[in-house]
Amino acid sequence: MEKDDKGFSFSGLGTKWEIVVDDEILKEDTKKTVLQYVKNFEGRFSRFLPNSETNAFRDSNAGDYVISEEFALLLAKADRLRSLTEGVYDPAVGGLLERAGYDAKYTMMPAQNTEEFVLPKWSVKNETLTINGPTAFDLGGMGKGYCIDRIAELLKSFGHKYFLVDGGGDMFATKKSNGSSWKVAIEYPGKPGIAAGLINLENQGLAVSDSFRRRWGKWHHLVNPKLKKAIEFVIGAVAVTPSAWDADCMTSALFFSESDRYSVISEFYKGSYLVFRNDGQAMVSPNWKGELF
Amino acid sequence: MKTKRSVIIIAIVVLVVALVYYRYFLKTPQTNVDESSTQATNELNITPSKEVSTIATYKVPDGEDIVKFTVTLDNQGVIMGVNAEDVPKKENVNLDKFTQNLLVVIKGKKLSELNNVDKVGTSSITTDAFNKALTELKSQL
Repeated sequence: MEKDDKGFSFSGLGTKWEIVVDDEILKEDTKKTVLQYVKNFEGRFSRFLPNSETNAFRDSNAGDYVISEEFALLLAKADRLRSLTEGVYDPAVGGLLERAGYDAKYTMMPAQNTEEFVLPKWSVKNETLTINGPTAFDLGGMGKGYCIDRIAELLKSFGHKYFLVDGGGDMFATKKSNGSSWKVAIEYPGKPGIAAGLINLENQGLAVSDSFRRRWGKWHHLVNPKLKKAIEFVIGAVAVTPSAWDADCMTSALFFSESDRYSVISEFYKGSYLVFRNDGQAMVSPNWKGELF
Repeated sequence: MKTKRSVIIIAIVVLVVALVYYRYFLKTPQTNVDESSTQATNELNITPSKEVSTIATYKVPDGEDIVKFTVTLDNQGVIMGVNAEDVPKKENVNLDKFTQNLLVVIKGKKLSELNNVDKVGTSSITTDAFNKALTELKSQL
């Protein structure tokens, strides 16, 4: 991999990013545009930044509010994911995460009153958000997936045809300039340094999510708002779809659904999946393409 | 349709049992993820890929289906492909039609055994360490 002169790395959205191009060297103005986009996105949508749009309604009264076009797009996608998981996924879970200790300061000290959390009700139509009271949103991985796809669009607008955008382990890749695909190893959930398999990415997005990385007490960052506890059965999920955004949504859907819903999820996002369970077995979609070790 | 789905589950279970039997009870050069030493010398012993198969027979509303599932593994015991064949018709069955998951046991493989990997897909927090380790290990190959 010639990444020294054909790519660049930066930090954003709480993780490391790397862009690898397989054609012309990235120009400085391309890099600047990408960096500016990510910085701007983080400022607008990070749950950890007090002035972000996701935090704009944490003290708001019930009512209708006009939101930005991009936030409406993100919430509309989240709304579809909420329906697909029959309400188990909900970006309004932000308040519950904070009570569980996953706050801006990473205190990781669970509060005692998580049982009292009442999930706010919200809906979005065009660019109007309706809430029934104070609401803290947490877009989770899907915001990062969206960002990966936007960066891919930016690269294309600067003339790049062959590249890979890696946003902290989730990615989107075109094909390589020689027509081949990008060979990507998939880390085994909870086993750093061990690969579970290999896939070939070509004009596809990939998302990998596990419940090990951000764990404290009995909580981790995947929380079922109905049961008010962390998801335990599934320990990791991998999705390959036509876009990184869909791949991120799909891993969330897999985490928050019973296994008999997997085929519906797979069809909805036009993707394939790999789900690691806590009994040591992995569930693989029939259309999965790639090696498993 | 429910009957068909449930028997497909049985067929998949049979397949998994065959796989588990093959991977754990037959001696294969499958890598143990807990081993600390590399197996570079073993990789020189190239043997042809192997196939394991099982035939599942089950009743459906309009008669009986007989499907042969075949799993192809390479010389490292890695699953390379799964094939299903309608035995009476001697036709391949499109696996996309199966709504059930395949259940497999994935043992994993050390990154030092992976060649020509462009990237590692991982949950975000460990990416730095993993990519750094990958770069370092590859430089030693």
